[in-house]
Amino acid sequence: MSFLSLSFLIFFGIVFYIYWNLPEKPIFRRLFLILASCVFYSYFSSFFLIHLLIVISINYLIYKFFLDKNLYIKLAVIFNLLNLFFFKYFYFFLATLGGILGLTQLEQKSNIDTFIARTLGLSSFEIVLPMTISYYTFQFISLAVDVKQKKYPHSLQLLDFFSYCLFFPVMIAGPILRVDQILNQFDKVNISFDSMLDGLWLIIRGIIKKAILADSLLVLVVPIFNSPSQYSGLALLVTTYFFGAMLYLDFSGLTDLARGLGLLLGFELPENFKAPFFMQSFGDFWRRWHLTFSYWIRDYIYIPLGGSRVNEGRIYFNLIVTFALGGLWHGANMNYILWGAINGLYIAIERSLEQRNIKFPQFFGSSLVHYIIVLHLSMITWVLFFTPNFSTAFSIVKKILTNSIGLFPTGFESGIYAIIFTFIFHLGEEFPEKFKKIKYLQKYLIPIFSIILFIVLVQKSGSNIDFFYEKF
Amino acid sequence: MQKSFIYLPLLFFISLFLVDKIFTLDFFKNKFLQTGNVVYYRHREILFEKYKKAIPNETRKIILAMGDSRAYAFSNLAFNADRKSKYVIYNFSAPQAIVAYSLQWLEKILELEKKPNLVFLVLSPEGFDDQKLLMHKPFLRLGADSQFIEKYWDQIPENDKHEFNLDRLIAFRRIEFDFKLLFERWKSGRMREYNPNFNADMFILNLYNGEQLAYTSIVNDEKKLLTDSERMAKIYLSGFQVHHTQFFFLEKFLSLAKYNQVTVFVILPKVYSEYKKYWDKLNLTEIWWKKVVDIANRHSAYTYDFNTISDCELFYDASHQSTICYDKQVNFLITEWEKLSK
Repeated sequence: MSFLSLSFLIFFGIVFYIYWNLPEKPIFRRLFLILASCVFYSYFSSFFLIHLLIVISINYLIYKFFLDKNLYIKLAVIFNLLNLFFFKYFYFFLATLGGILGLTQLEQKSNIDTFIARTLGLSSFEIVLPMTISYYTFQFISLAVDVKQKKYPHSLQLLDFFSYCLFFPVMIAGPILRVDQILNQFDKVNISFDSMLDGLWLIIRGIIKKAILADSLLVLVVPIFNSPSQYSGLALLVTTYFFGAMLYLDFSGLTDLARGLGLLLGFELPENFKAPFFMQSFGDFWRRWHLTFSYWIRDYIYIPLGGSRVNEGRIYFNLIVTFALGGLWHGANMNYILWGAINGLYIAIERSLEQRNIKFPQFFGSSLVHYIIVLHLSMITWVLFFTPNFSTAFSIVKKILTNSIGLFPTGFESGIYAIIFTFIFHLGEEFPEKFKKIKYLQKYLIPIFSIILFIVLVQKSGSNIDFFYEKF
Repeated sequence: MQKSFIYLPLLFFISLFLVDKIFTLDFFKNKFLQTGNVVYYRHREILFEKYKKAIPNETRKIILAMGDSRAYAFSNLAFNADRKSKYVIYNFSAPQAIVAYSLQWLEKILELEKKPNLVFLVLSPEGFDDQKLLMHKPFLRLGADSQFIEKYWDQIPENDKHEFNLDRLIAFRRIEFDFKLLFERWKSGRMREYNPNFNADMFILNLYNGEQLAYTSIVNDEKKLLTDSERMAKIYLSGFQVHHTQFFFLEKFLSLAKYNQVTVFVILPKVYSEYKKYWDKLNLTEIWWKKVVDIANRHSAYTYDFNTISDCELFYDASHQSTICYDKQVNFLITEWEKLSK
């Protein structure tokens, strides 16, 4: 069920009014949210709902029986990674193995499916990626580490595990929650007129970002990145800007929606974006982009690897490995790993230059030149994120760098508008206090925008384009 | 805890819901004609009225053309004077029309006293994939009448039902309101085109018996056709699966025709070779067309695959032959029918 569908509007309307009319005792609302989240998830797949309930229960059993033992974190990590591995990386692993061993049969998904189906005596076989698996895997790993390290000092019950994972506003694509960010809130959920307005405002902002702006960019990006050979280097470069803006609008729109829904249910959820394209360096970018993910890989991969407490060479290695694994989290594809590793490399180089006190040459406009270099390297690296394989990504980058000739499509106006709006949203994230002054307009703007968005969404319903980050 | 303010959004949506009901007015069905699919689906109702009036005095053999846009060009205009005096074609095809839509018209037409003699039923495999929700849009949204929906409700896939129910809930969805068109028509002083009586597209469809001959090209633009093949395949053939729903309606259609002694020619239209490759990749001849042939044989209908019969290589786009190709095809089919009638 997409957040941008009429079905979801009806679903949420029902949930919202039942939820706030339940008896005041927190347990009722808590149980009801679990139930609502099960309904929400079952809309995607009833089978995978059962699977998810089993995964949650096993995590609880590991917690209950092994928390006091040294084995606890390892066991929780292994179990959750195995679950993720099977659904997300099984084919990728076999294809990579096949590539190494020269077994071409292993490189074809259909061959593997046919073989397994035949072996198990089934008519067909296919491993399908369950919704939100990457996100809840990260959540359960962080839970195990945090409770073991007493960052969350309270003891947990089975109900806590269910509440932690079955919270539908974040079940499409995060934000990735930590146990202390959510469980503490269940006992004190509340809604005020102002928080309701804030929630509705976030939802409207999310819908504008996704349904109007990101989708208008997607139709510009897809045909060009799908047939890059036809287009000029300049067209491809402009498309990388559009893609960057689209990814931001799509994903931050989804986060706004999740946070808005959370507020309407009485929860404050963490922010994921803080004006990422206003970054001043590669490191700064990752302190602004997909924050719950960046902090997760920092806290649960980079620091356990030794973080910055090891020798210089090892720090760079840790950075590259952390980001490469972060890339792999996005999908079972070499492109993602490479995208992550290159980002890690950028940060490692940046850190190395800082360590040696080598600064970017200072001259008039040097900050702008530095910004343009960082922006372009980041944007060009995003090409790996969208393209299906390395050779396509490489051909695009080559065309951009050699400014090769080709088509330059018309109809980029909507892309320009979307970039202008991206800039405005960035201003709001960078200077929130300046925008607080217009908060009093919210109650007038919300009904107006609601009517406009209602018209837009009603027309789009049934042909909603999925959120880009849903597939992760 | 008193939280009456939480009902403000509900009140707002109820008001919006009530305002939305304005779009259930007949005006939006009869006097608010936009462009594209809706013109055809609206026109077919007008054509049916014309058919009802003309048929009692018709001395020629009556042929119906049904199916999707690949049947647009079946027309009397393909006939020479001799054949024109013997046969008349009424074209009830519509864009993205699935078999259920053809069945709906056949049922209505067979309720009339005079029965048609022959039906060209043009089928496309794309219409047999329920995942594309073609049952809902355009058929349930634009073409289906309430009796038909009631009668076959159980046969409608759940996802289409769901979309259709949302259409019923929010009337504005059904309108497919095109603000850009409104602005353009307003700017160019063509607001009266919302009225079917003053609509140019409707006028063209009304010229004869529903045929649309605009898909004409005299030379292939290979580059465009290639891109178009890719585009079409992405829209209609990604994740393609053949489902049972339209086979059910095909069975119904053919058995009803047989019962009423109406000959049916089931036609697979020719598509551009590069697009056909996508069909072949999916093995559609085996998994779909063979099944169609089997059902047709069981109901004494005849099947024609123009991908093998037609030598015309002119295409308007990847999935539509040029109108020029149809002259020969219509006459070929009539000759076939004449042979069968002997």
